[in-house]
Amino acid sequence: MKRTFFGQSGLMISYLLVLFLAATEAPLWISCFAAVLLVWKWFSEKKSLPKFPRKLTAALSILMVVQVYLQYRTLLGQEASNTLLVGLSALKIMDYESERDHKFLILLGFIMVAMKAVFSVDILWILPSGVAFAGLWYSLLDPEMQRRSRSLIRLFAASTPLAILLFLAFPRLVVPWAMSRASAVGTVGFSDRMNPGSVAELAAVDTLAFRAKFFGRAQSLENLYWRGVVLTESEGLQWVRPRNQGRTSPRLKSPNGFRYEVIVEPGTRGYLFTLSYPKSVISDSIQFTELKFAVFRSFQNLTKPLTYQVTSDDTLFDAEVPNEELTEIPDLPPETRAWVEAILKRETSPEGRLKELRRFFEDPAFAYTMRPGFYASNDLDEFLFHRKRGFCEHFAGAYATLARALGLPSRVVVGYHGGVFNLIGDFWRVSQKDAHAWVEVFVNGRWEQVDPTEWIAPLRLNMGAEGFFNLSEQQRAQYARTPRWGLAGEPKFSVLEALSFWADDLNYRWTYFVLDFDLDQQRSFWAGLTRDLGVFLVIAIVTLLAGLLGVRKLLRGKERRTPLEKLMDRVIRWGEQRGVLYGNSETPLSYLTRLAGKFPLQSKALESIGRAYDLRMYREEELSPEALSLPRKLWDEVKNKKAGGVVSSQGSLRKGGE
Amino acid sequence: MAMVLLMMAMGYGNNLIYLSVFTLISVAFCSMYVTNENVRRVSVRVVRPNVLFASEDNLIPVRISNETGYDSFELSLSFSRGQSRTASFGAPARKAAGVPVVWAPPKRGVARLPRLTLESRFPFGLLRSWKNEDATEEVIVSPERRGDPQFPVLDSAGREKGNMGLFRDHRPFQSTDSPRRVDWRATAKSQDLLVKNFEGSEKVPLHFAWEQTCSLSDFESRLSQLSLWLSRAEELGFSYSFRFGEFDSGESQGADHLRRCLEVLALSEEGNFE
Repeated sequence: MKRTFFGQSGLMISYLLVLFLAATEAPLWISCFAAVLLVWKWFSEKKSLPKFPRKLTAALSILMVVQVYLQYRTLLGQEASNTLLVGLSALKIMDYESERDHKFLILLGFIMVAMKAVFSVDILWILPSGVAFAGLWYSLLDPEMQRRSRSLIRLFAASTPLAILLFLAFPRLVVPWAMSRASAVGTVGFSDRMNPGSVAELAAVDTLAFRAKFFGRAQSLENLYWRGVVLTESEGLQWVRPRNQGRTSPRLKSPNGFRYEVIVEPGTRGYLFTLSYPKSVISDSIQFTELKFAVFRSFQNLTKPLTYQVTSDDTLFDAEVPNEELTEIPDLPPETRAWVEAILKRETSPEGRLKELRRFFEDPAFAYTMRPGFYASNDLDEFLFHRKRGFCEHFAGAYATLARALGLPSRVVVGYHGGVFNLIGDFWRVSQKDAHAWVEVFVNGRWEQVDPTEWIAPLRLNMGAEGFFNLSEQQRAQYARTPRWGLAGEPKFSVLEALSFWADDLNYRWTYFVLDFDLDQQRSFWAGLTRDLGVFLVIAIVTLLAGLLGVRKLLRGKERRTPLEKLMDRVIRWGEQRGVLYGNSETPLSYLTRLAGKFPLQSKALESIGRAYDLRMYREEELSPEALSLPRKLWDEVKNKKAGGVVSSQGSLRKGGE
Repeated sequence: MAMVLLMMAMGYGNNLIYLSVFTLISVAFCSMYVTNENVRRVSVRVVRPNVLFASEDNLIPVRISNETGYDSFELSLSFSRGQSRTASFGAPARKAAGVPVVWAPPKRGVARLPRLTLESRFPFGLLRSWKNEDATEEVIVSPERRGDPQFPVLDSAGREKGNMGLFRDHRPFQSTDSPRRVDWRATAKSQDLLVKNFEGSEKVPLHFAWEQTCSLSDFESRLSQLSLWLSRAEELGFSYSFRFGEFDSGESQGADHLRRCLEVLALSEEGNFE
């Protein structure tokens, strides 16, 4: 039978959904390519556009593979595989016409649905993925099958216990072919170098970076400086991380601290974000190391959201004496050098120089903007003395370079500031929008945190990136230096915001409870269940048997019994209650005859049942509804009549027995 | 595919992929049960066919019955591998029905029906469940029907007089008609060669004999030719007789008569009767 792709609504809808899911993670060119092919296919099936020749499909497949290889330099990575899958399925749709194509396309669809989960485990994608998954199964069923949806639901319901059991019991092994989720291409993510504009680029997207939940202590937004990477090599405005990142300073200990848990998303280059000063970081699921300057990083790029617990103590401070690396300065451009030399002559104390620095950055001419224009890596003169427009990384980079030039060891910290507090879920949602850069300066024997953005745009730090960047450009320019503008009174949330909190909370719980089910959690789950082995075994066996019976019943469906068969069952029950047992090899008709012989008052009704049964069941004649209901009516009228010779309800013969 | 997805799930350590692959596996597992049950509840029985011809698709009646209270769907039947399968059919609960299944026996003679396979890929078309029925009975396969479809001329000469009833109408002359039946007067008027049709048994009896195939040199070809004539005569509703060596069927018609005649051909051996 020749099949058409757009002639089957189930397949078409589910497959377009699958393609959409995959296309959201694929480059634009392949999505456009697939869209053009689909439009062509629609016209060739519905209108008179010629069919796509198979040779052309083959040639396009080869070209697409070459293009994917050129773009990704591999065909195996997840981005490359996903791109290939989108293109190949679109090309397969062009050839679609037989049963074999149908099955192949659906199998591809299943892989693409799973592929989506590699890119995103966000609960928002679960619904469309689930619909697509069910739709693919639905389209495997025969189109002429009756009650397709109901059958599929029954099958899914019957399959659920086994799927859950497998999910809970299948060991989560760490395999040698563990694949990396992180990508170097095409995504905006956290980086371990800071170019002028890189943080602004990061802050322009709203992708989730991590979620954090505090235990027992509320935090105010202004104080949430999530440290990621520490950069020590200055090139003016551009900073890079240290060449040697090995840990040198001893771990600080104190009895105080506050605990919080972070679920970090992939795409952050494996950095674990902590608040100052992190005393301990614990994780069951990530293998990580501590680098210099209390920076934590996992051994591998993250492939999925991962959880870690941190204890920080804000009374502790880093007192490690800076080495030469933290005092190196690049070649300063003339105006910057002149300014530095003037300060060096005027101020001799570190505090005095810090004050001069602050005074310099408090100049109202400095403007905080996401679009400051292009700066080269050492465009300090242009930034500090002419354009004076920058984002946090410009201010942090320039401040730290000037501080070093003034003899104050300094380093740049790149991470996130603030986040959005979810009132429903009681956690902080930190997105790329909250990306931030600040400075740590070594003064009076300790590293002090300095954030130049605080002097140029305090509203950004008090309001948070979400609120601040939602303001108009004009409002931002006008009120950036007003620390509490728009923050008076209790914060109010619209229904939409409340809904988004709820959705985010759901997502958080989903991520936390379902996706974090790793080997350790699996072990503890089964250890908890099997603590009392005897009870567990009894419950397991009973559940298993009940489950098997339930599944069997679900899969078999409802037994089809005709009204006559049901009536026959009632008669047999009636007869057996009165001591006339139904023989194993006895036919219904002979039983009815035997029964009629014993119960003369019911004999007419029994004969009527026998006649109808014979006609309908043996001769397979269609009977009218009246003819079918008559025996039942007769039987209902006479079944309770008693007379001499009728067997008592206990089954003993009173008179005229066998 | 499930293995590919499982590798992916393990490689990425992704519980969502685990969940989808386990759902896939369990749906497949349950559908395996459904497919098996779908076939198990149906029983098949080959009904002994009346006449079979070698080298052609014979329809063998097969009785399928479903004694259970549950319907079965998308079943198909076939005789051994390589033979064509029936179209998909269903077996409703507590119903029985006949389904013709194609079998092309390669040669004439006594043969055993090949293994009958009932199969289904219900519900998803991915997994196949089947059950075999081995026929125990032997069947007689008649020679292949091959040769000239025209009946031998004058095979009914001299015997048709008594078979004529009242005149009904005219019809065109056929090669099997005796020239004596030609109505020359009517033919002259219409330009076509016409013969008279009579009420009652207007079909004249046909007589077949081994000798009528003497123009064919090959033994099997002669059997095939006779096989063709006999079956055609039966199909066209002629009364016919057949003489083959010592066998003389006598004039008759009907399935049993045909079977008796064809059985002689099916079991004949070269050199036994000439």
